[in-house]
Amino acid sequence: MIVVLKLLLMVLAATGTPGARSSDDEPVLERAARAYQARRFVTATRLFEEALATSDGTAGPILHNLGNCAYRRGQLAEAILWYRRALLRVPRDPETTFNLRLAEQRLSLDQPTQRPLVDELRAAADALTANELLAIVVLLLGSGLCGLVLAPRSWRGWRRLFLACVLLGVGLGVCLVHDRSTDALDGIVLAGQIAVRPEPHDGVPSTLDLKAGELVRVLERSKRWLRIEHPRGGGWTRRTGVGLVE
Amino acid sequence: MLRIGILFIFAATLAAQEIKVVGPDPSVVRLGREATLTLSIDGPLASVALGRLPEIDELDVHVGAPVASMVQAIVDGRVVDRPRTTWSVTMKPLRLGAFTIPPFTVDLGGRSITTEPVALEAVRDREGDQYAFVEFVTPRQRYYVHEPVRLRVRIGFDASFFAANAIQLFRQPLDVPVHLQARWLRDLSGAVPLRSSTPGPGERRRFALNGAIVEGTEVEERDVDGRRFTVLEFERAFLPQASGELTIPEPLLRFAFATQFREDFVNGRVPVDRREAHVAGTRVVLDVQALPEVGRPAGFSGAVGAFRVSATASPASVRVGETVQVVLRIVGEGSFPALRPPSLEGAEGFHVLGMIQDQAPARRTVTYDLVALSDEVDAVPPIAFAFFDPRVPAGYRTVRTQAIPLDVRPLPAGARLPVLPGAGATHRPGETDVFGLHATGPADSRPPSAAMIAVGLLAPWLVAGLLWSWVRIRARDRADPARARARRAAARFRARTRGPDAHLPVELAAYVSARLACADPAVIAPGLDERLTDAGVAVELSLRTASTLKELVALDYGSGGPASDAADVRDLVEALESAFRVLETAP
Repeated sequence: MIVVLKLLLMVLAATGTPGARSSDDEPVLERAARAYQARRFVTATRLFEEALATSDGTAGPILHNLGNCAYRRGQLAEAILWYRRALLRVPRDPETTFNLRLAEQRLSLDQPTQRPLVDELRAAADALTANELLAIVVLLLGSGLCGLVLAPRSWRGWRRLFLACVLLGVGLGVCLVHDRSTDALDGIVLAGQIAVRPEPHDGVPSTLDLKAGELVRVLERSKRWLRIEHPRGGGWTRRTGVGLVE
Repeated sequence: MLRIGILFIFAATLAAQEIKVVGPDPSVVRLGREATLTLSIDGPLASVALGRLPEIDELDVHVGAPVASMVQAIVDGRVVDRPRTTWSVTMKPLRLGAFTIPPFTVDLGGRSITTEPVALEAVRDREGDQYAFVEFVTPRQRYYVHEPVRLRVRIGFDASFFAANAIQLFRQPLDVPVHLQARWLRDLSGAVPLRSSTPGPGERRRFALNGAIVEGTEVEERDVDGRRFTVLEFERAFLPQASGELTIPEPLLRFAFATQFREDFVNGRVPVDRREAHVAGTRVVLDVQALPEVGRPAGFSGAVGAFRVSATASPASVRVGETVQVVLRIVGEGSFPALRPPSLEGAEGFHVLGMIQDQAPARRTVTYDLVALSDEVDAVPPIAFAFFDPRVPAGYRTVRTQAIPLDVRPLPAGARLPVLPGAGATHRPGETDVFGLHATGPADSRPPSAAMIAVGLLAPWLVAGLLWSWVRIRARDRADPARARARRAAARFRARTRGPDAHLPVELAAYVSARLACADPAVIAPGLDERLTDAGVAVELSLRTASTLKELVALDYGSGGPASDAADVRDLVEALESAFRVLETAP
């Protein structure tokens, strides 16, 4: 029932929402949805990819749908990649987030229940979009600095709090600028298993093996190799084995 | 005092305790023979305990029960008895070469005492080498992860010598009375054993392998140094699990023989000089390579070897919603245990109800139950099976079955496709299944531009700076009200003289008094020009101000000459304000 309602919404959106989607995409999306319902997932994938190529600033739902197609085809690592790409456009969408977690569970990629505080903080910061992070930085810096200016010297506790806000704001600001200045991005292991080597050369023995669906941080890219970072280690791996979340 | 002295002597004795190590005897031992090491420590049996024995690959270490004894020692010219505990450790090498035995630890009243490491060397048993050998045969030295390694083990024995001199090792007589010790056949680090294949043609002979009796096939007769050896062969296969070196340790062959026998009425032929011999083979080190990432297909099955696939489907004609059974047969030679059958989850127009696998050493049969979802379907699509073929040129290969024609009839009019198992009823979105498709949603979230980040990071500092300036000014004003009054005088004058009903003499007097920091009436007095001059205003401007104020006051009181124009008064105030501003900023 929910699916039918969504399909109706999709058709309505495609036919009645001005500016939501270019007119060329309407039949493509409709055909893609119909193919998906008929479990013709290869066809649906092709059509959604076609729609994605012409999407105009609303790629998030299409990426989610591509993730669903990959999930139904049993290509879970690819599904994870599409879902993560969707979440870049529609951050914290509950349905996409759930689908992502389900695909990760099926690949036995459950997150560890206990992590160090630094990792927890980092994960919390990663959960925020850049816009949200910027807003928090402005809020922290603004309130902290204004508080420091306005609070009398006798209010020591308050002044410490405002100083902490400023320092936190500066720290997050530095992170924000650093993230923007570097071209590091996330990647998903797509191949069944990839070998990570200390040097970008097949002859070098691998130091780490990663399995499909695992999340890595891509630090450097060459034509055929990627330098990646993973909680268990890092190094170089073949570019073909990793999909970039971009 | 005496008690303290005894305690002191006991503590000193305890501190000086050490383990006495004798051996190993012999330090150079023939392969398969035992060497003995004796450990002894002064202390009663009840208060000492030998720690965990060191574990060394290919060295059997056994320790006997501790033996308590009393030794006599001379202390301060007196003969005293001391308890001593002794352990006898036997060590039996199962490979050639040097062994370093890590320190033994003895716990003495809660204190740990350790020995020094001990060396032992195992050398070849030359006598045994004359009558038997054991060797490995592998087709190649280089393999891939998950590629089956077929290892043939060959045991050669001098048949005529064995017929005349060999002695049975066990109560159960063997065709060839040898005992092959190769623990790695059960537990090889880095590989898992595969099911044994059927022995090849040839006469089969029984012998002991580890703890069991197995059969080997006679494969050849071989002449070595003028002796004729009969060669038995058996095969074992392994599946390497990781890349790197895979070491298969040397096997050890044990047999017993005698040169003299006597005839016994009850037991028959009885050996007089029974001897045991041990013969070691040579270890094999294989190079196991990781499967290449280049060209690895997305649906790689994990299988390594050479495979063929075929498929059948039945029935050939179904209605929408009915089940088609598709049987996929994978045959060939390779790593069947590592094989993951192809998933048909994405098969166009079908729903997969389930899959059953039938595993055999060289065959895998997978039966899929598919439900046709649409009458547009006209065939079971080709099933792709991707594997890695290690044969030259090694690489990934994908084989496909033929498409199987299928006649799918539509549902009867008005009938609906029933809810399929595994779809909808048991899998609920948000619980055990993914949420469905998304309709068009809000515009994508875009990261902030560099300019926006710059503004966002700088704006709080700017606002705080302005706030700080305001706070400082306010604080200064609070500390000096006259200065604040003077600074605001011009603005006050402008505000009050904006309308036509402005009372110019009062406002001018208020301005000048604010600037001179005195009461308003105090400026309506002679000497104003001098006071202004003293405050730093130019003489001409001071005179002009004094005269204008005088005129305005006089006019206000109904006497005096012509009235000054309001505009002239405003100009005068602006000139004064400029002069005062200059004076304020002057050093």
